[in-house]
Amino acid sequence: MNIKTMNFIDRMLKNRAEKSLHPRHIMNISIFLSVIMVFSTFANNNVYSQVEISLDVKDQPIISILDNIESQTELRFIFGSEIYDFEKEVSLSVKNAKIDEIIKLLFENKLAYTLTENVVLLSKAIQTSNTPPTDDKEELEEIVQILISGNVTDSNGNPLPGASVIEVGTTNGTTTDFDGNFKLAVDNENATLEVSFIGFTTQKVTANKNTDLKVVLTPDVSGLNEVVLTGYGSQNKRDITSSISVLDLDGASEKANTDVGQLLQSRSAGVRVVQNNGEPGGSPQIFVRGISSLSGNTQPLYVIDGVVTYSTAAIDPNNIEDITVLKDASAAGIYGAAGASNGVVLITTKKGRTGEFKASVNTYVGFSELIRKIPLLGSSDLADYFEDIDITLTGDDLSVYNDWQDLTYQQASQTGVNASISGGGENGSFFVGLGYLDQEGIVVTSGNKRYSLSVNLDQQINDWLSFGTHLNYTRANVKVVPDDMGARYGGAISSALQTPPFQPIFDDDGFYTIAAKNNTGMENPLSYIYGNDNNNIITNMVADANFSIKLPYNLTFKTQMGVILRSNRYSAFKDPTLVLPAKDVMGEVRYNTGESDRFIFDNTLSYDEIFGNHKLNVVIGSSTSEENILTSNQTKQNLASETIQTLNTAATSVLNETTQGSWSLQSYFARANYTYDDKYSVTASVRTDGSSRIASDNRWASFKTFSMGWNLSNESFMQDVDVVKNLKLRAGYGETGNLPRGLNSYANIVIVDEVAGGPNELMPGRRPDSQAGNSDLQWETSEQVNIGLDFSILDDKIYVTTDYYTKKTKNMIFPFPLPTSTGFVNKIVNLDGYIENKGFEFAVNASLINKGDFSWNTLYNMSFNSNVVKDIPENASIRTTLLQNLGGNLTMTKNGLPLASFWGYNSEGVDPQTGDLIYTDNDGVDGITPADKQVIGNPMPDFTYGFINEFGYKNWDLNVVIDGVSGNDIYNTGKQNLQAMRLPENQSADIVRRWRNPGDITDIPRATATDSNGNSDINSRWVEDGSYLRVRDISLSYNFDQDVLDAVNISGLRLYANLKNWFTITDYSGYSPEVNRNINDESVALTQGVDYGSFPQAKSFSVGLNIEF
Amino acid sequence: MKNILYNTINFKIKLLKDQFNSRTILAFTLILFYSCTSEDFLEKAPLDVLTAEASYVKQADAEAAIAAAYGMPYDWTQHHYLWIRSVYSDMRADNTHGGPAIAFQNAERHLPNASDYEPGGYAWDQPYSYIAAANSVIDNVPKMDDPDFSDAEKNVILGQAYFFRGYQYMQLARIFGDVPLHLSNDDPEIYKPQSTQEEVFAQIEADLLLAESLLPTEHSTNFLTRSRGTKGAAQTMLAKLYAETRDFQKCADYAAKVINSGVYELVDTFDHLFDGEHEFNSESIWEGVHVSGGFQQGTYAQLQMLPPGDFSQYGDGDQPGSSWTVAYPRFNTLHSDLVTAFETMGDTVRANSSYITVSDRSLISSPAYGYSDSEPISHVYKLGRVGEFTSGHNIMLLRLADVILLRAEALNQLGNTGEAITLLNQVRARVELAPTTATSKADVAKAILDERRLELFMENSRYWDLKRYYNDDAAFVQYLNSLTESDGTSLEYKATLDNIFMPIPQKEMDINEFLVQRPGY
Repeated sequence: MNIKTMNFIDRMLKNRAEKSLHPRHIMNISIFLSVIMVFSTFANNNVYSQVEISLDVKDQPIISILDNIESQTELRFIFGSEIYDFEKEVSLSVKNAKIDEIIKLLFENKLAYTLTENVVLLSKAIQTSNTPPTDDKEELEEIVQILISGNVTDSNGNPLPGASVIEVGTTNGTTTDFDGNFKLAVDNENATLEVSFIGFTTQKVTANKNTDLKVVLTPDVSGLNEVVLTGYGSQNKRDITSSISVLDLDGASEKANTDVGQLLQSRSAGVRVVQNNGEPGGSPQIFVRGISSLSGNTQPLYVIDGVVTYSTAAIDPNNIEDITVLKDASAAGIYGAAGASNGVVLITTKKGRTGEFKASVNTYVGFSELIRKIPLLGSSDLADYFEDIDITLTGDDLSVYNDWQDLTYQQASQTGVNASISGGGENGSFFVGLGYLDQEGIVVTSGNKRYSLSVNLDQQINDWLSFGTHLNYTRANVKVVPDDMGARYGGAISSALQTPPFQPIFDDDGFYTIAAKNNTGMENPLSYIYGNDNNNIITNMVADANFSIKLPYNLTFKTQMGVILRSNRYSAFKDPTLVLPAKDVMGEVRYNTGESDRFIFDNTLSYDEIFGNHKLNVVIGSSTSEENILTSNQTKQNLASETIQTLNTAATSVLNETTQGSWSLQSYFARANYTYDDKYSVTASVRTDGSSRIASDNRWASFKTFSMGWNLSNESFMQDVDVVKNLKLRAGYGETGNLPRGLNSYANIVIVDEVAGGPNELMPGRRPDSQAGNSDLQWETSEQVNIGLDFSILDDKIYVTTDYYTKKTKNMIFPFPLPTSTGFVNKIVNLDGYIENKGFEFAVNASLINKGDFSWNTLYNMSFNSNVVKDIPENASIRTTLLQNLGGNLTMTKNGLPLASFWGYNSEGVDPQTGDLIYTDNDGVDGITPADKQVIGNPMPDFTYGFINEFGYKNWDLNVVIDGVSGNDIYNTGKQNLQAMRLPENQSADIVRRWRNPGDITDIPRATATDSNGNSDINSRWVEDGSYLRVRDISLSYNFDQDVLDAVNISGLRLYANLKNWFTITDYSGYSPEVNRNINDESVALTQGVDYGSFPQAKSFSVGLNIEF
Repeated sequence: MKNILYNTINFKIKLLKDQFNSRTILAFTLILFYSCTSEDFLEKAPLDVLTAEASYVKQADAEAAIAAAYGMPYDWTQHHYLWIRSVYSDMRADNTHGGPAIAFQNAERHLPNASDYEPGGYAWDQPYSYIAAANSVIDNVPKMDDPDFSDAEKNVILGQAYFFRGYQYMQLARIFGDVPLHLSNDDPEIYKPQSTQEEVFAQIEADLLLAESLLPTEHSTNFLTRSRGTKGAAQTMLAKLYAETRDFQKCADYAAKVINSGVYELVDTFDHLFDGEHEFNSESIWEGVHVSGGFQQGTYAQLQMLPPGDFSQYGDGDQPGSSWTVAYPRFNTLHSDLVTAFETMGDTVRANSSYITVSDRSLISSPAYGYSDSEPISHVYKLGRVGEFTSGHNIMLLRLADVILLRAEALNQLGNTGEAITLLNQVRARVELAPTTATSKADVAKAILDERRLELFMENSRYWDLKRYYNDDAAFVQYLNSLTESDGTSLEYKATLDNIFMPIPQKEMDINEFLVQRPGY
């Protein structure tokens, strides 16, 4: 067999090297392989056909005779045990016989064989091309009456070798050869032939013996024949009974992507990616089917090459091959309590392929810039405003004009390169990828340099043992600017908006100004940016090694050891020669480090069997993991010299601490999937988890799932329905768990610190922590019901997946306030009540046009989710998202409302008489009191959507990705600051139309320093519609022709141009409608949709090329 | 080819018996090995925090626990502790103003809102968190079996805890009246109804009597004697408690025990009590200790009382426009009536120690904060050294002059006006004032009240002194509502029989359904 054929087979088996194939495949492939071998034997005079064998056996089972042959020759046999009775005892005596002769004798002409290299593949002899090789066409013609010939290609005219051609209603069939040609003998002149090929829709054609049939297959958008990862195993998509989404990455990973979130964006219904900021090295928040935890983890679980982790930071998106999302609990339940309540993202990295040695380079350069500036007041309008708040400007040079936005933002460059080599020999394969990313942020000085390495090796040790290892490693050097804070609290982004334009950059002593004259202004953004040197060096590694052992009875045992390492080193320096606050303390250095290592040990035993119409797949296993976490934080002041920024030269220690933690998880799980007659499938799983984070009495919990599927299209009553194909109904129920965030929530903790122990001396003191321990704490549990319907229409050109779900999170883990009379502030408890996420989602995958040189494929998905809290105790008092100096806690979580709804006064407009806002008086008591506060916004979108279009014309590909959200609100603290009209700082250009005189009709209230009416309080004026439609990504690429490339001896060359975030339709007035306050200690769930001066998102343009050798 | 097939296709490959055995054995050994995880694997004791169980083993542990209880009022929230003391004694009475912050103005004028956390919430939360620290000692120390930790040593620590708890409940009972009694952290009853003020006073008496019996007159060092519970400190608090409950005989008796203990003696120079240079002096019965430099142990309470401006002369580099100025307006400027009282009495010694006037108004940056030139600023506690953000100055909690005046008051009430005058004059003599001219019981009572106002300014005394003096809440309320500026402008106090107690914080009401809000709120 030549290399090209091998290549092809391998390509066909792409991605499935270690996934078990399913019966339908097996059938196709076995036929296909045998045909390939036929041609191979035609082509090569195989030396093994001439091997001489001598045998002299009596009443021996055939199987041991084959053993005997294997032991004396290099020949190896492969066969399906059902094709013949191999236990049948025969006697045989030959001397120096060829294999051809022996097969005939052993099987009495009932089996055919093909010989490829040294492998003898035995198959049933049928009256088709699967008969033993013969050159004599005449002889063949005599056997059959009607010989149909034809050719199968894809829509681009490329031959499809190995396509299966079957005479409908019979078992008679063949497969196409390397050039896509086939010949099939049929009995009936009017026979209908069914032509099928993996990844393409099956087509029926009427036989015509006079002309060569031309069969053009179109890509199968349903992917029903694909094998889908399900966690600790895989299933044929046909048999899937839960909600699993396989992302169509289609080249997306070879573009200018910096983060895995960019691959998840827009591509899957029910998966919402919130790009919370544009900071290089930042990562988005990802929500699968809403937010379902108050204080626990809300992000999905990531499983990278089988290793369970909580971050994708170790992965260079360039090295990703596949992403699969387990969305509902009946799919994710196999990961039980490890956090599967938020969905599971299975990531497979690229691997080498047998026989294909390849080197490829993806490189790009580009730039990014601020999407829009926010219009602010100029000096004269600002002076006018200051008069309104009783500040007369004296001494300021109003001709000075510093556009702080221009000074803060830059056009940022970006360069990325990723090089990989991969390949495989007969028993092993390898992939090595190396990446480098140098990305500047659009805020001056910010940036990220990242190095990445990915190494994947697979090796077959012998015929029952195989070994594999994956390693993904990244090291990022991130230069951070302080954002996501109020202007007076160190936030550079807020300060860039609020610093008056006439405030000088430097004061007379060369320090960055912290005010203009007359106590106006504030610490300017350049002080935060240049006066603070913040570097974060982050190293991430996910690696594993695994062994797989084949056992009898179709059992496979797999053991996998995984290691996840993470370390970060954060150093910060406040320059005493540039920053006034740092001058007072003679400079400050901070040096914080964090390290964690997590060890994972998984063992599974899987069983895969087909008995006639019955398919059974069972996996049982155990998983053990343990993580150790260390942090060390030091801050010192009083530097000996500002040029030496290490701790040892600083005199005064401000902070000196280390922390340490450890946790472990032990799990046992089992799952069975049974399919009858390709019509009815059921899947059930159970997982039992024990965690160190919960006291021993409640430590163990079990999570069960059950789901079923009904392939209606395989029912006889559907055979005549041509409009709808592949109709499948799915229904499932499952439970998943979520861990408490704290490692020791069960324990009563004692705070150890220093107290005054004598005149000017300290001694250790111990007192109870303000959080009481809770040894009764249990798992947080989600229960999810999912009902799905999948179908394809228009001859499989359009495939639709729909799902409806309800998800209830119970036993919510929450720091419940205690009466302070107990001396404690709160206790982590399982809260009564539940969070309910209900939703409907659908995805359409359509191959709209596939004619000649032109193709148009489209993917559309849409998800509706509603989130509501029910039955929680009335005194839970869940007020969160403290906005410093902007009116306190923004959000309220209570019964009947979505999580973390915005809560404040409702503004009915500006009173023309007073210029103050008229607030809705809800409590009936005269005057506006805190009891008048109400819901003023909902941060959760009503629906989200993604729309991907792929156009192909000759060598050109155009990819347009659009996505959006609708119905969510954003709380814009930027607007609150810029229209508060209370403090001596710059304001929005909009305030020129503020109320000035009684009778003025306007939407903007008066400027007032005292603000006795509370116009600047948290109110509905700062809440804006967060809906947007964003053209996320446009990329145009050109693939060079093979013949051009052959001349320069490279096998692939693609040039592309890529626009990101270039067009957005939104009413939101801030920098970008994709906002989220960065989370420090606060829970992600309870701080949604708050624009708190985050590093704005950028739009970018890049050009790149992919070369393959 | 073979590779692919082996990997991907579940074709049956013929098996050799020996492979079968070795593989099976290997696989099942691995399965068995890794499935046998012991429960120990899931026991992860906290590595960087001490659990309550592990924190009472050795004598030093108990000492750290009691040190933390006594150290707590001085942690980073301690400035509120000083605030609370001043807000409820001086501000709500006739000594100081609430400053520009609405919440404090409301507190001053008896218009508190249960929803305002500042200052009412602190007055509730803080004492209870200190009580939890004392309860932790009371719960655990008796159970300890460190052989080197004698019962006598345990009793000293327990005595300190009882004294401390009694003192904290006294703050609560005075301010809120009926409050829940939590006497053990192990008590499973989390949601408790209030006990009546009488029941709380009875508990305070029990704690203090126990403390008196357990505690020594003096500890091993002068520092400990002045900064921890002692027999004298317990007796002082008992004298105060009995004064509050109008058991003047006991009040006089316990005050006498302190005065005659031989441990305490008035210092000669009044200013030494507060200048930061003479801490742990002979007059001091109990001081809150600060160590300068750290947020945890120093205090910047004193700083809070100054108006915004450049006070770098005091070591506070308070920058105009900084968040500091905006977020923390000053309060506790003096009532004009108090300044008049100092002047009328001719008390220059205590006046000089108690307040300052800011002569250069240009230092005060923003008129928006509502200060007038004439308002002097409380300056009982001095700022720290230059360059220090936090001060190491101690806060005087209990001292002899208070006890002497209490005994004078009690004796006068009991009819022994003569001895009362002697005691009163003892205090007056120290600040170079002539003996009192009062002779009648009523005049002496008024003279003692006036003396206490000047002697114990900013020492958590005035409100309770007035209340005791009037011995009739209606008269007390009438007095408060009659207060004026020196020019006769009414201060518009809105005191009522109800709001002389503070409301239970709404936050606490929401959490604990057994609580009953005070009437009138």
